[in-house]
Amino acid sequence: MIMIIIIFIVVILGEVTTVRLDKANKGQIVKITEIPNDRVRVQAIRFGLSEGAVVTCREVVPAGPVIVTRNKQEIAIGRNLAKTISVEPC
Amino acid sequence: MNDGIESRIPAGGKKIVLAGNPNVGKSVFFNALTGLYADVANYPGTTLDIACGRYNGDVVIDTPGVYGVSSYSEEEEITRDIILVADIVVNIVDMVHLERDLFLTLQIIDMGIPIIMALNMADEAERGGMKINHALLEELLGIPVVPTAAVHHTGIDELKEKIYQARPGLVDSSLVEKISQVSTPCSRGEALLILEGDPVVSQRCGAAPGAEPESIYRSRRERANQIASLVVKEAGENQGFADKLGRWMLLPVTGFPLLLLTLWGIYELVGVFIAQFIVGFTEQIMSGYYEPVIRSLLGGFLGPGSVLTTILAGQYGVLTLTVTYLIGLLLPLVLGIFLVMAILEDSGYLPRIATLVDRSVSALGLNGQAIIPLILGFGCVTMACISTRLLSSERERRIAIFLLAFGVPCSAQLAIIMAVFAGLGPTYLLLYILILFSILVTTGTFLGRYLPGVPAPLLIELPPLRLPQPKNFIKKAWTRSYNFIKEALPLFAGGALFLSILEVTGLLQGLRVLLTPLTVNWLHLPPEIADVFIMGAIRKEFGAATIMNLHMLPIQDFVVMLTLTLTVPCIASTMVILKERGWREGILIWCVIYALAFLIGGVTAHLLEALSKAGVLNASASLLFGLIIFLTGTVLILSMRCRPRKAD
Repeated sequence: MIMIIIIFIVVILGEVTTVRLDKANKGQIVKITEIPNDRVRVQAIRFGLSEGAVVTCREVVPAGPVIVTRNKQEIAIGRNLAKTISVEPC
Repeated sequence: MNDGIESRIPAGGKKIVLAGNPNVGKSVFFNALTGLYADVANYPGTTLDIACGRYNGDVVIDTPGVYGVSSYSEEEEITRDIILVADIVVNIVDMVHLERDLFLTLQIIDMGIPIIMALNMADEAERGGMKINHALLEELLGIPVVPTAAVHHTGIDELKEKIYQARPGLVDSSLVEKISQVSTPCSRGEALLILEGDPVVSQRCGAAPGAEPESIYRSRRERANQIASLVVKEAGENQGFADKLGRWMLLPVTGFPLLLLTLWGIYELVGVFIAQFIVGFTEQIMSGYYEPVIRSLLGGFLGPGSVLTTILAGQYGVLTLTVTYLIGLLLPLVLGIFLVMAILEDSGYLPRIATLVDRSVSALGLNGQAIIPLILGFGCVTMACISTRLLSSERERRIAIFLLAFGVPCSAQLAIIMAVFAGLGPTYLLLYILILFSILVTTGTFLGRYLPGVPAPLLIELPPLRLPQPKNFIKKAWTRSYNFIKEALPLFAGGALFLSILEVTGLLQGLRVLLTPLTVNWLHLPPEIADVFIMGAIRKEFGAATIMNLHMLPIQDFVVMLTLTLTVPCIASTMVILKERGWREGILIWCVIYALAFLIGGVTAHLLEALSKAGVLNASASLLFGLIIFLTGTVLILSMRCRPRKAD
């Protein structure tokens, strides 16, 4: 029983501590760690945004898309999509 | 595979295919290579127009801009199939975004197709303080590389000289063996796409799609990044006015005013100047000069009033209505809208608008780009339906066209509405607006939720803002308009023939009688109102005079206006819907809209009558009624949004 609670807490903590792209601040530099949607991931690789890519969060449209830049390239990511993308601050 | 394009290739001619990412200036190269002559081939089974032209006895084919080829979108599939049969690919690359563009370059190289690279935007890159070692790039890729600045015509001659030196480049060594292991009889390029898991190509060749598409993509991306890092000497920072303007377009505080200003400009240009002034002028010419001439000519030959004269030159005559509509009405509208679309496309503003309004329209099952056709619909639903081509997925085009035909009143409808409502008072107008708004939002939400497929998530690149080149967008708009009119001609002639036959055989009169249960019994209107609906299906203004002369009760006036707004605006928009969505879907959309329009009209009629019988139909009661409908709509939306989504 205690084990289950501990596992539960670990899972919850993991979930809470994972930073998603929609929480990034303007100007912050982050590393993309996971893009769960298959289609989006493939499209992102073509854009140059593979998992592991370091991007600058250029703009966060209030309640709207997140705009990231990398090498003069600007990419707008819808809010709902940004919520699924895990990032790591660097 | 493609009759439209195959038939244009002269004997012994090569297929030179222009390929590149979006917004790299492909059309400038196309114009530079083919000169003034260009032909547009409609790719079978799609709405996309592919431009073809001649160069030295070879054929040059333009392709839609893509980031890579596979089966992820209509554009990609077409580009893929054209590249697969290419003899030479001219890969146009944006020097500033070399790293991004190299993915497509490497993919085409891996396909084993002879290729030459035009390293475009050299001027822009230099201004940004960027230099590229193109000798090294040539060496690393194994293909000729020509630096160009196409808009200033720099480097074009060198490209023309070297175009036949195009050769297959250096293929990723780890792929060579894998490609040779693909056993089905297919081309080298198809083999690569099978390995990359392309389902369409795999099925076509009868092979199982590769199991590790992502690792191929990933290693290609790494290779592209590595090559870019080796050849790019310095990357300067670019913070000009365009950069700042681009930023302002994205932020709500500045973005919405800028958007409103743009939309107002478009509305003034297309909705007022072209749709009213120019079209008024051209229609006058057609109905004042062209039609009488045709009538008197035909009357002289066939005798005035004969059946054939009515069919050919009557009110719905094949020679009169078709030509008047196409040249007098549609051509100016289409030219105007294609001009605006081309300018918006070339400037790089569209993706920014989409980003700005993405959140607001996501409730309608659409992503941000759909706002443009919806706004244009208030000017003319017909042209707005054409502009849904801007939208990225089939699903979104479907929703947008349905909303346009159903709930967006066009300028012609608005004019009648204003005239009738002037006599009804502001309460009815408010009620009308509230009802229409609730219907629009509810329908959009409903379609967004229940149409198969998921809303395309917004993931778009924001290209640098650029000043559109007049030569480019005028040519683009003209080619598209010409092609549109050419395709619409048989459709309009057929429609006119159908209406004429209805009139000649007296079926139009019979239709009036047939409609009585609907008009008199269900909508509680006088029988003559059938004329309004029959004529309204052709063009809304045709029925307007009848409404004014009938002297109905305010409630009846209101019900007629509401029902008329909800039906498809005119025969032109009906035909465009049929053309854009195909016969089966077009007819379905048309029928559903008419059924819903009469259903909602009838329910409103009964409700309003019940309210007035109870003696509560004064100003505030109507307002309440309106608010109730409005709230119902909102609640419906909220409940649907809160329902858990099905697993995607």
